[in-house]
Amino acid sequence: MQRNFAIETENLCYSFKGQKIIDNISLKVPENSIYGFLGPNGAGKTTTIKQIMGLLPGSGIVKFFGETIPYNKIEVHSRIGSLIETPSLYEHLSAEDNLNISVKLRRLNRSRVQEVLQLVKLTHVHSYKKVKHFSLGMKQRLGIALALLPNPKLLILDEPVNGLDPEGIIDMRELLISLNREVGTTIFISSHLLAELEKMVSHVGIINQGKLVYQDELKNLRHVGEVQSKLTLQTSNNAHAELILAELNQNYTVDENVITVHTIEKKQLGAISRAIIAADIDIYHLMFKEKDLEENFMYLINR
Amino acid sequence: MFSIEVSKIKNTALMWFLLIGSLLIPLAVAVSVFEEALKNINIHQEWGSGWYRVLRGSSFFTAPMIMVLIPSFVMDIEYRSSSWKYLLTLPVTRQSIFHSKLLICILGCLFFYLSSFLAYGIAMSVYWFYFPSSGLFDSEFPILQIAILSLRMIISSIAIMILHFGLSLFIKNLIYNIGIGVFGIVLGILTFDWNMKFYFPHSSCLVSMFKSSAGTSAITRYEIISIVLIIISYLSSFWFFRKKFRG
Repeated sequence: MQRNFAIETENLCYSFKGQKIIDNISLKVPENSIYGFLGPNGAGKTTTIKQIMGLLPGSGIVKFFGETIPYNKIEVHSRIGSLIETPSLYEHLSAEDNLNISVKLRRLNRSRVQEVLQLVKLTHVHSYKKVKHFSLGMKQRLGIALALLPNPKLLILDEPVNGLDPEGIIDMRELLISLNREVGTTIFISSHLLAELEKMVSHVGIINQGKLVYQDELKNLRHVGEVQSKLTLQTSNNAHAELILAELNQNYTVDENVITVHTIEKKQLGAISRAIIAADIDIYHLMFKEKDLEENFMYLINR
Repeated sequence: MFSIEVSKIKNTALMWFLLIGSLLIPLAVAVSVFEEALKNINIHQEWGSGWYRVLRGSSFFTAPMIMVLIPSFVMDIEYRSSSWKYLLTLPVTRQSIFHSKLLICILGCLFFYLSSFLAYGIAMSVYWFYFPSSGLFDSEFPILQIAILSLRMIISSIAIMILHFGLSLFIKNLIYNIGIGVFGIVLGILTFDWNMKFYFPHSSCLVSMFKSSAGTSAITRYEIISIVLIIISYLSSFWFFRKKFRG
């Protein structure tokens, strides 16, 4: 079955002063997904987003909902909300004034202003307070409110949680998940931290040094790379425990009284612990570490 | 789009510069007229010649400076808030963004002369109140003379303004833009004597009011060169904004 893509790019390239900043990026962001665009600082995330949004020149094809840009750009962009880098706010105006400007530009209903302020929890701010007196987190929330204003079918957010406190990060995550699940908004979100995104994204694209090194569903990221799950173990009789592990055909190493069993499945844990206890050996420490997404991410960007 | 631009410039220093700039010269002229009358040098006044004095007074520094400040501030609002990248991703054409910005600058220029004229009118009415023998309201109001004088000044002013409008698309720093403007104005004053031979945009107001042979009436060769500059600046900055400008 052919999937519909909210964003589809073909061979996006951008060079600056003879240096390739992004190199043949072909993104496929399925509709109704939350797509995490990951990469270390300077990998080319913001440049890619800027090129997708038509803010940078360069070569390649960009399609939104199957329609090639720049044709029909106005109609397509009316379905997109974006926050690129820092929020674009007029600091000498209030939050409402900032939103009203966008409401007029997008020809939306003015009631939408209060709705988005409520969504990002900024209704408590006095209407006359100028944005220049806002904290970094409040500015970030207002930037997200601007992106949410048109009730977008596609939301493009570049590092949206920068400057938010832990509570703000959780609020934002819940808001984005609910928008995705309840309204069906496709969300394209960039970050340099996998831990920040793994709780909400369904798909992931990893960019490093301008190249897309991985793109798939998040669950498949666990199967990438050389890092495997492992079990660490300390017992009252390590020598005897090693014999038991050998009998169970486990691959293990010993380092300073700690036995590490490599490449192990979770379901094997019971059999190992039962065998050790049956041999009258006390277990002091037993820790199972699953295949780590973070380690796989690091593997992909370091290879 | 235009009302949006108006809401953006509220609470900015530009509003104050426009207001103070437009009141400064009419008030100075009014003070000078009062002073002359009190010393019995010249009580008789005419609307046309008084307005000519206001325009001549503005042409040195105030008017060119305001014409530098308007586009520099209007563009700086977007640079300072990094909002070009937001504006250019909205479902709005680049043409309408460009033209709404240009329109607010042109209206800023017209507002400057209109409020100058209003301030001049009020000041001279006060003068007439104290010196009814000045004859201000005895003769016919020289509407054509005032309109032509204003038009010549406005054409010269828009030439400076649109030049800096285009420049603000390249130079993204308010201070640099103002610095270039001040340098141009000072250079224009210093090279004032050469300016009938060589067109220099920043002294166009000055030449238009002091050196043009047509005196207080008719559009001269100098204003025609200004119109050509306006058209060239408009076309080149519009092309740049549509094709190359990235914010």
